[in-house]
Amino acid sequence: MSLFRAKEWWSASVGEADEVITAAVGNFDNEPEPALLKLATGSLSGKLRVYRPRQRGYSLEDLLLEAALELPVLQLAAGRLTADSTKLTLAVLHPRALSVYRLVGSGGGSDDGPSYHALECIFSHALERPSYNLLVGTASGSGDFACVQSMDGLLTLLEKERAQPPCQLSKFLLPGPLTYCANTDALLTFNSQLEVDCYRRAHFAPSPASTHPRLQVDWSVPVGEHVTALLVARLSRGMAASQVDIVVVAERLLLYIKENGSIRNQKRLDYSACCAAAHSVDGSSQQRLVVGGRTGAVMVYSDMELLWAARLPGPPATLGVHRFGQQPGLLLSLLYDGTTTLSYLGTTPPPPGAVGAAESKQLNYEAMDAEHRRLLGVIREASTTRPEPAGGISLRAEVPLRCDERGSGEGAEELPALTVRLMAAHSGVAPADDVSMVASCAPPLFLAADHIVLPPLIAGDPPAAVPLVFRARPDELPVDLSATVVVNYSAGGELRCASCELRLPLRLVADPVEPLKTSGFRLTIETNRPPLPLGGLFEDMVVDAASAAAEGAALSIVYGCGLDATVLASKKERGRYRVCSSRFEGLWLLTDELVRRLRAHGEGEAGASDGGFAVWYEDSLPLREYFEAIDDHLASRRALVDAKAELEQRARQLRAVEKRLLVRLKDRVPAPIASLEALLEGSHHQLLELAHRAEEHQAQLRFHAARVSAGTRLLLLLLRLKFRLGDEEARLLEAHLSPLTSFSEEASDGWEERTAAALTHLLHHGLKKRGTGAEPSASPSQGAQAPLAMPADAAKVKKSITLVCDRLNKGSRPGKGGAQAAAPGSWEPPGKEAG
Amino acid sequence: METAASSAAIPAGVDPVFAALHRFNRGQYDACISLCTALLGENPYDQAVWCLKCRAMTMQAFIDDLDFEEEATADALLDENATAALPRPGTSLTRPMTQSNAPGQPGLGMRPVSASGRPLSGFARPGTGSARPDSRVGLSGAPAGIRPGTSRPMTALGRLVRLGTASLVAAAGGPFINVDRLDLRKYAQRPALSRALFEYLLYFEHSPKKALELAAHCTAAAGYEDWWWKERLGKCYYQLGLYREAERQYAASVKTQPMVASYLQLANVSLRLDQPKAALLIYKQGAERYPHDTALLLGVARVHEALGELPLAVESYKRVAGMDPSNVEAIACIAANHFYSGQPELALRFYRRLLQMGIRNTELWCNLGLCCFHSSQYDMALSCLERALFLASDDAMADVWYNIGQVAIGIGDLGLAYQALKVAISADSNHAEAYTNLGVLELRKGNVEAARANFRTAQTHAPQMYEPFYNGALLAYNLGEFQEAFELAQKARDAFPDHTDTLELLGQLNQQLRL
Repeated sequence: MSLFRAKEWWSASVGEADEVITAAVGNFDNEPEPALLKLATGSLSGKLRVYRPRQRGYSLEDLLLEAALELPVLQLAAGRLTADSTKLTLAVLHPRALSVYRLVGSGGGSDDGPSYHALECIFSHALERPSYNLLVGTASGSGDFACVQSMDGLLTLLEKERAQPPCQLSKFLLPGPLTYCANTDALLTFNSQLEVDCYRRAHFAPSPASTHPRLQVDWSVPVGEHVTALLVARLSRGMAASQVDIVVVAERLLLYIKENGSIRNQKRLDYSACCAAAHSVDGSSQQRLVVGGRTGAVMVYSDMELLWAARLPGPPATLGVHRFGQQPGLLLSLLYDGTTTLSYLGTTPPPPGAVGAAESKQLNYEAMDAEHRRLLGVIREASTTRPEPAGGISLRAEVPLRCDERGSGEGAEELPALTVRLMAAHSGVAPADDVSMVASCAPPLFLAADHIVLPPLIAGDPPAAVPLVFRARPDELPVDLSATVVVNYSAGGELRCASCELRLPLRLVADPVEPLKTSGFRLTIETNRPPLPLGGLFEDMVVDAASAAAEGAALSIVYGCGLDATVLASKKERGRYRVCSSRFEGLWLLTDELVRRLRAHGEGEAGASDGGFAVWYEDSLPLREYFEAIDDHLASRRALVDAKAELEQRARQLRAVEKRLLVRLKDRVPAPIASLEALLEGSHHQLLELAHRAEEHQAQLRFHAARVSAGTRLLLLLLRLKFRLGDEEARLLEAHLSPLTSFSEEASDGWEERTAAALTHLLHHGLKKRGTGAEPSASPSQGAQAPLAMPADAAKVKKSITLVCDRLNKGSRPGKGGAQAAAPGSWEPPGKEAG
Repeated sequence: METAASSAAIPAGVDPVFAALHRFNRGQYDACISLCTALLGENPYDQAVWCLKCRAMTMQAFIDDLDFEEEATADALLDENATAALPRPGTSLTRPMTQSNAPGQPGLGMRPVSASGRPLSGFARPGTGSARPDSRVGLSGAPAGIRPGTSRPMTALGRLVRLGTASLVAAAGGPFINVDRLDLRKYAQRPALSRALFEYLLYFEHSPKKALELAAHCTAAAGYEDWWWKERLGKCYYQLGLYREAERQYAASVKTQPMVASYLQLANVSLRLDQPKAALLIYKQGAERYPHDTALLLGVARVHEALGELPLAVESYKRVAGMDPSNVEAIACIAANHFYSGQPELALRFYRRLLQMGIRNTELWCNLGLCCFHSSQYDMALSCLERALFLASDDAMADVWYNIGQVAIGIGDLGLAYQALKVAISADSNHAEAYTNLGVLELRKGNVEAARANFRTAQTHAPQMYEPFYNGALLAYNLGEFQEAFELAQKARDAFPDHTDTLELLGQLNQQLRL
């Protein structure tokens, strides 16, 4: 669709593709005025056609002659090759002969010229070798001559109907293009060594010594590429009148050579050239060059500057610029597909509609508006959060109250195991595929297999039962008995998920024992109901039926790690329960369990008149014990960091000693070891010892982390009971005073500094004193806090916790009431990230 | 097999070698090869036919290797030729000038940069998009191609290897020449055969080692006087990655006979060694000797452009366009320069010229649309962009949608802009520019977190752009997070040292942080 196309002026289809290979132009019938040019084409099947294009468009009268020569026509050329050097003749090259014809017109006599043309053979010269190409040159002084190159490099010169004995080209392998430079009276050709060779015509003398004398090369220029066309023309600017350029058109190179064989100028072509022609311009001694490319492009160069580029319908085999009829400067092209075209260069504006900007269709604004509205509706529907489609997998967990029988699991599994049966039922329309189940729980609890792939579920089928086996490591204090199960699946191409929270029984981590008399840490929970018999409340924890009778007032358990805890119910009217343990952290799990069971029991009995069942805590908060746990935790962290630093130092020392020792051992002239080996051994022992110590510290840290976690949970529970916090308030408080003491090997993610920062934030934003009113929001200095670092002591976090308790005591509550002043979006509880 | 059948139909009386040569001259290499194969079956020792077949097979597999080509990942990672680890600005392709010296020329603020930190060119050519691994992208980012996830990196030796394997499949019945059994010394004595064989080894067999051996024998046989063999030696060394040796051979070749091809390849070596100034010098020497050659001038322009010396580059492009008015690269680059220096009307004229020359592609229509938009021809802008969308392939789609979003922002239709940018991201999930603009739109809607996330994505995908860093810094500053703002502003300053707003923000932050 380029604007720059060659416009057709005259065109004729002259034969089959790949058959017509040559064309020549000349006034072959030697017509007097007006001496119109004729166009002759020849084909490999021996057809010779002569046309006389006179005006735009092809007409039948344009074809003057069509002759079958019975021999393939390899090349046509126009030249004055007969003895009568005034008459133009047509030279036809056949594989084994060169024939020269004259075009004779007869009859007619009107303005159209002769009405009938005939071809008359003047002479024919048989060739002994198969020919390749033909050159007709005009030597200054002696008239035209013809030169035939054979396939094996023999050049035969014909002058005035007389052939000279052939001469052999030197450096010959494959024949190449041939041209003649009249200025130096030399023939130029391209040889297979990728060079352009120049041969003087004077050297074509017959030699008595051999039948085919070898020609001497005058000069040769390496081109380095396959040359497709050779011409002689005056193209360069500023040349003397006597000078010419030898134009070499190679595959991707345009080269002008001087007559003496030195390179005048060159230019890389960014297309692949296949043919070329030179033509003169009126009123200028400088000629122009037309180069055809394999893509069908035609480039017109003046010197080496591109003047015009146009596109032909196909790649040309022959190009030329001639005057036909009264029209000068027509571009003759013989295309590969066998059409001969005379065309001119120019542009005409493209038809309307070809260029987008020119289109003038009426815009239908109503339709566009309707489409816009429809699309907006689609977008809105897609961007609003749709409710979860009804139907899908629902999960239900069957948690047994007691552990499995010991030894029921495979192998000699010593740990108590608990098998939870998870029932997954599907109720959607589409079947649920790719169902995978993931379960998780907090250490020291663990699962035998936490990732299970289920077969596809179909609605209406009985629910799939999946056994999940939970176990508890005995070496750690458990603090969290909850577990989560998540099921991912795809239903009808949509990814969905379902989740289920479950609480594992206390029995998994603790064993009931005979009631103990412990006088350690204790706290008292109060209710507004008479005390319940503990045997009923903890029926799964009863040791056996015999002791069940004695139950009712006291119940003791022992955790897997050996820690004990006891719950005592008061004998009086008011429902008071005392939980005690020999250690502070042992209180938590039992207290939690107790409060849960009391609540469950209280809510079970309906129809209470006094505002329902209530549980509360009256005593002072066990902050002192809690702070001790925090101190221990921090000290343990510090010890671990120190141990690691020392370990690193020792390791470096060991490497240094090792290196030195190696250098001594590898040395050609060994120096005395000088008890380095003792040093190495000592360092190694030290390193091992330190590593063991670091491991111990890690275990210590894990132990204290569990303590702090248990203490924090207990404190949160007690705060909730003491100040009667609502669910939302309790959640917010937990988010800031996080019980998640994520234990990491590096001990870098410190709970103390994190909690201190979170509580400071809570005190500033969410838990202000009542009545102080709205402070200016987030002061900028808050954002630029220094990165958290391990504090020297736990004073800050302790102070913050005390302050929080104090504020709660004074009646302020976290959440909406206090958080009004903070920016709505920025109230992100920092403690949440700890998970 | 159709070609073989049609080529077998030689008209009666025509010499078969003539027919083969005729096919070769017309570029019908398949037909030529099958004719030659038949001839060689009759007479295996016909040197002329052997040579012709060799040449035809070479032409079939030929690649113009004079253009600077994409550097393969393995080459780039294992490149030991870097001369300076921290070159001075403007002396290395890895550290282009980031500020424009000439008044009136667009700086980085107006003209976007490619992944390697060079100013974006108006013409996509091999090598412009590749980031040198030592510039910004680390070892981890290097194998990801220009757009991670959407394009795969070049393998070692680039296109040569892949084409080589494909051509072997085509050669049924075993290879034409058994390379391993050749006696190269014998061939070196036959100049015509040796050249054809050399080209065959290099372009068809892709065996630069063997070709090198042959070239070494031949250049010795030619008495070290043949520029062609020296240039070919250089080519072999270049393909083998021995750049210093290649440089020596090319230089010797230029000394014997200055040819444009040698100059171009000599400059390529310099570019590969990251010495753009040396390459410029070579190009200019060549252009002095052959003032009409556009390839040399284009080389000058490309190097100037890559170094950020845009006025010089444009001057050179204009010379190319004067000499060859249909040179697409020159016209496109001049147009891009006009566009980025605030003259969209002029750019429009150049792009229209490309359209007239028959180029129809997404990028051109998209550029036309933008030019129309910036010269206030809104009706045309949208229809141009529509056309661009119509023609767009998957990898260009995102850019078109991004530009539609840009136009929509310009006319104030933020809803359309939002949707267009979303579509751009869905077409190319690594489109950093779209993320940046989407972030700004989110910020306008009040979605602070979404805006931040968008900026952060853009920052990771395009560390060479300063906009996401600056926007992120400003947002962090307004949220009161001075530390983050400071870090981001510093990165923005690294990407664009002269950005006034960044410098102002940094000044304010310095004051705040000192308090």
